[in-house]
Amino acid sequence: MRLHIKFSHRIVRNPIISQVVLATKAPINILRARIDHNGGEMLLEVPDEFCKEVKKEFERYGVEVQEVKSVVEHNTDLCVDCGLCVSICPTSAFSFDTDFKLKLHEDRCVQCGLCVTSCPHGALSLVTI
Amino acid sequence: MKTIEEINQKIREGNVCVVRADEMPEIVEELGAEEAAKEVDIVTTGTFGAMCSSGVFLNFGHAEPPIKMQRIWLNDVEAYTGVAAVDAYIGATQLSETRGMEYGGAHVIEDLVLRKSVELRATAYGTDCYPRKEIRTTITIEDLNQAIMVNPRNAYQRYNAATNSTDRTLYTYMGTLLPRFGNVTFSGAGALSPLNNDPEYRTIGIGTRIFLCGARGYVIGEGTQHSPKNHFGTLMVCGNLKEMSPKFLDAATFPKYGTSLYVGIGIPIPILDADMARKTAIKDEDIKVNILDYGIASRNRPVIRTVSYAELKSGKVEINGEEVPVSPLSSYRTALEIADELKKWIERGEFFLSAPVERLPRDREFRPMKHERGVLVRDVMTSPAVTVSADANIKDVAKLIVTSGINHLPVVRNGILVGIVTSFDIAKAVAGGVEGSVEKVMTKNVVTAIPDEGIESAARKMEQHDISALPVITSGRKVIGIVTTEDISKLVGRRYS
Repeated sequence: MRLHIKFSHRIVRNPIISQVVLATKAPINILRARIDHNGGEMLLEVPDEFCKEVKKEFERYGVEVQEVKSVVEHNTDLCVDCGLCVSICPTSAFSFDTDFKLKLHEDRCVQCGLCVTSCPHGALSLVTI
Repeated sequence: MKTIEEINQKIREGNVCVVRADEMPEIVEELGAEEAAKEVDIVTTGTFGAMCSSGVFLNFGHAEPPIKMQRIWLNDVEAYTGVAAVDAYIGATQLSETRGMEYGGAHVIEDLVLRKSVELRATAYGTDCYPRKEIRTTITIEDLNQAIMVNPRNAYQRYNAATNSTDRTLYTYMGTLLPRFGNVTFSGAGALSPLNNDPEYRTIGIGTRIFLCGARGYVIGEGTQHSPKNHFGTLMVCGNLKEMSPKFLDAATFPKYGTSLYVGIGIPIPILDADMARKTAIKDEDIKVNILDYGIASRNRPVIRTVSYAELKSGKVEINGEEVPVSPLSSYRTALEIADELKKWIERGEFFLSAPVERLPRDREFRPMKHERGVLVRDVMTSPAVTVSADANIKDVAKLIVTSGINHLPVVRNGILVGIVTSFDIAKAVAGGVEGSVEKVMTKNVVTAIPDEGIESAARKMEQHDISALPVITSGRKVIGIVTTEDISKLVGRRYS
């Protein structure tokens, strides 16, 4: 499961991720992180069985947690199945099926956005969480 | 032996045998070429990819009072109107003057096919017969007398693949090329592509009826840059835009490059004899292209390696021992759909074959542009360059800078470039009390130039990296000179004085 966490600038300096990992023993994978003067947000990958506990633990520190279902939108009306995104994606989130149709493996996407800026048909966009 | 007329008779009678090009290798292997030629009447091909050399002739009819359009814009994209009063040619790669790369001629063409309104703006100098000097109106494709697609260069037989050896991402008509051989892109449908199935152009020639973007179209001649000697044949095609389908025509924007039009072309190949059966049994394995390094901004891009379409379509190729992901630019899925659609048209008796009235040239070669040789780095560089040894003392280098007045010193070990120091690096080191060899304060990652590089390329490198000098090196990294922004400015001064 993917979790999107959001925290205010007031707690940016606290080692919250480490505290959550120590408390829950969950093998959390940070897929993406962004921190600015307003605070920050992160996209995390957490094994399903740890999700509930991790969420509770984060919330204890005042971190907002949201479960993420969709990370990138693939508009199949605009897509022509060229597959230019296939080699651009650093996590191999795109492939062809047996009918040469483009397939998106959302579970692999880390929302880097490279495919969005490279698609000649404007068929890909990031889902704002 | 069969004739095209005999095949057309079979279409009329409803007993024609049509197969898709990708099915032919197996059929010929199973039956042999002689038998396959008896069984199969027509092989359908298809390709759907970015074809920049595409556009449409438009006729708007006359305004009241009439105008002889001198310049014209459609949704702010300029079209060429040096062909009579109210005719214009809109090219796929012309960019919008207000929206830039996100919208271009290709998008105007697509909007017309989608039956959307397009804003027309034109200016003129006014004549006795065409007094009007300006017009602004809104049109749709229905308002046009003619909208004839005429594409000077389509359906490349094959096309070289692209990669990038440099340290930065490149934005090209071959798509986004990631640094340090991060990916490879290629174009074309390989063994399904029309010209690969008739490499001697026996049946595809002037007048051949084809599938063009969902409508009936025609081959009107060899395409520009047609280069059959090395299997890079191209076609010039035309068709009625009013009959085309948005399913087989698509406007595209290649980031930081510009716009292009995805064009769908399908050509039926009549299986006249065993030779044509054999030709249409071509496989992706048989079609070889080079992977070129787009990191070198020259028309002679270095060949990284030769691969077949089969390797490219596998999604991975090996470069320098590393597995590199590969992307197509063309849609193979749509290419198959085009070959299927054409097959259906023929089987339903809606599409008949035509014999070419003239064959395409088979002996052309694509030649480079004739122009004066540009100024090269070797023409403006200072040679030999003053260099310092990697173990030279910082203080001695400081003295050298003062006495010679040179700001950039390549650092060498046995004549081989290992770094560069500027007068600023040395001043900073002296002010900070840093002692010892110059190696401590030099920049190790040196941006360099080669003697045969154009000065435009050298100037762009300096601008991109915000530096003002490039050591000029040989392929063995031996320093043979240095080129600075000053050398290039002097040249510009000379040109205008």
